[in-house]
Amino acid sequence: MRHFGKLVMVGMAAASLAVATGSASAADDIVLGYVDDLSALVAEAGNDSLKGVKLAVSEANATGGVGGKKIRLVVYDGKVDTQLTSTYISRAIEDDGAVAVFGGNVSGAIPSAMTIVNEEKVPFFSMSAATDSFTNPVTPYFFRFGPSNSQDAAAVAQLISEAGLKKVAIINNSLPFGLDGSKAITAALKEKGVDVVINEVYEVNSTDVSPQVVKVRDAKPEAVVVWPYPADGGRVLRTMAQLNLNVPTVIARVALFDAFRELAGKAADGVLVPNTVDTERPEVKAMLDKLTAEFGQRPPTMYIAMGYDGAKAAIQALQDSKVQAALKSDDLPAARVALRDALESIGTFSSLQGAAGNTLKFSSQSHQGLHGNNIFVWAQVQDGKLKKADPKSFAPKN
Amino acid sequence: MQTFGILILSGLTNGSVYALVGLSLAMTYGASRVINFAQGEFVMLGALSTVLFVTTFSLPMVVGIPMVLIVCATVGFLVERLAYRPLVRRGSQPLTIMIGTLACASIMTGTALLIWGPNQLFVPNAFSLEGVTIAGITSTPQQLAIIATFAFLMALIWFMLYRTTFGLTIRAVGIDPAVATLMGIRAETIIAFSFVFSAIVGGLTGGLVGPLLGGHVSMGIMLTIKGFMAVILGGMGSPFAAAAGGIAIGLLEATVAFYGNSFYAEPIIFGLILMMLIIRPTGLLGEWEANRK
Repeated sequence: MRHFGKLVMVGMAAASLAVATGSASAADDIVLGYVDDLSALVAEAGNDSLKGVKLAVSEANATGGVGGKKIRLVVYDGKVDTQLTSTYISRAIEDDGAVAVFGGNVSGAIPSAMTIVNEEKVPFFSMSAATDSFTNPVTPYFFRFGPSNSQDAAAVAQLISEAGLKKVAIINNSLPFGLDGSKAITAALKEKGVDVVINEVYEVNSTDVSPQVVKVRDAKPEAVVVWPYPADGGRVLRTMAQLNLNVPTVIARVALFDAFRELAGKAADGVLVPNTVDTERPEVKAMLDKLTAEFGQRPPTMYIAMGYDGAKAAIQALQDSKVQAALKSDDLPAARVALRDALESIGTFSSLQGAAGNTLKFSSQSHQGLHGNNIFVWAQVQDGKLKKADPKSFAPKN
Repeated sequence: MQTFGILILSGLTNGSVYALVGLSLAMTYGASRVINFAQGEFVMLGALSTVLFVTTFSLPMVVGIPMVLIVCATVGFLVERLAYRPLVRRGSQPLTIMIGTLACASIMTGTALLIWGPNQLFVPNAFSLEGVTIAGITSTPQQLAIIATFAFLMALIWFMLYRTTFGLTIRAVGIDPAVATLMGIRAETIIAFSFVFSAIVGGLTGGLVGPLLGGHVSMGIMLTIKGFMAVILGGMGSPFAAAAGGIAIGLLEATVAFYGNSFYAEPIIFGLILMMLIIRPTGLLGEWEANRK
């Protein structure tokens, strides 16, 4: 029994030593958390953004890291589960000592994530979750690197208005992304003097969406706007083709996913998709070539670019003197606050999204990085692939 | 009239999916008195195994589909043998056994994630996805196949349960496994059959809906919920009552979507189920089916 007691004590001492060593090792790194859907409905977005973040981090580490410290990424799969996402964000902050957390391709998980990062005072680099209210009004620690729904909506309304179309139907799923998108598009179209003749909603797991598409067809729209998730978007377009609803169609950014194009098949040919990645920009092409070399071929989606943009901005802000001073004195809470302040004070960061020369702009009044009219590059689906589109091709069909 | 036809067909298509999941849940429940929460995962397994055999291994559909069913039957057998039976033999409460099936669902999802990855996959279609118009109503052969498979399985299950001695033993085990055992019926074998049969129905459903919904590791849970709603609405313990519940939900969804808004379909259906539980706790056809037994 005595021997057992000694063994336990030795074991505890060894364990304490191991923990201490682990802490020392962790202090040598700068930890960035990444919590997003990596295995459920929007996994393609989560994984693409993660690849963008990883690429930027590996580039920084290859040149010695930041202030002599390497950047270490801790990654968690929050699925499309609000509770799980919140738990992992807390874990990245409290257990892993993340100086900032990336994620936010799932709108549903954002409100609770936002509460946590604002309470814990940790900058959150949000990707494609598009709900407008996430950055309006501004909350201290939440920064968005992708376009918001109203920006998508403005681009869609501009496209439709320039094509001279006056009667539009909207069909969207009943998830927050679909509902918020349809609300933003309705407002943007109204501003352009375009009538929304019908707005139909369907449940994301419906095998058959004919009732909704029949109503859309019977409303005789000149164009249709579809705001779905990938698989249900495929079903909507197939049903539109079956029911001979053959009008110019624009679809939300989810059409950038492989899954959508495979599921929609030929029915997706010709539809226009708002993307933020212009593959003709040399720096975009260079980044995508590196990404292909490291992770294999991926379609040029905005998710990759916003991950890369976000990580590059984080790395630039980490070089700020106040952040460095806090990190050197192992004062993690101060480093997080300083990082947040640096994002606002540096203000302008380079971006691979939008037209050449486009930048991300943050200030105390705006945590929505993308601004202006040159964010979007229209993509068109053709034979299951994405190609750069001429917006003039969005015209009434004969 | 054409619009009404489209509505009915749409309701029948969605309803057949819910009914197939519901009747497979009810088959297991009827024999074992346990809700198998892993049932939706067999739909996922069916869809993703079709990808494996037909896309990855390039097997023709006529070979691939039987392979899918063999995989599902094997996993169904394992769920019964490794989770249900040991728990029953230890005298576990039904709730504990249900948690055991939930654990199986988690294991199946995790394993599928390792095999097929996180992305939504295109599931190859056994029937054409191009529209066909019959009497002015357009659908696809794949959607019509779902309705036809449901009708065929209903006929098969009815024949098996009410026209064969084996079916009589299944019903006897459903009423009281202990008495059935005393009468010389191998209750455990009957229950194992119900798990395997339900797994096959789930796999077949997955192969049929996969090309429409897309194959994904987390697709099972939503279908389990819809199937469970069908079981509650129709009545526990009978595959026919569950099927009726599924069709009712499908038709109701289509009607609400057309005359109102899909956004309200689910609250309306849940409200209806709540009313049903208050007025007829045994479900729409629960008492009728119980008397028939």
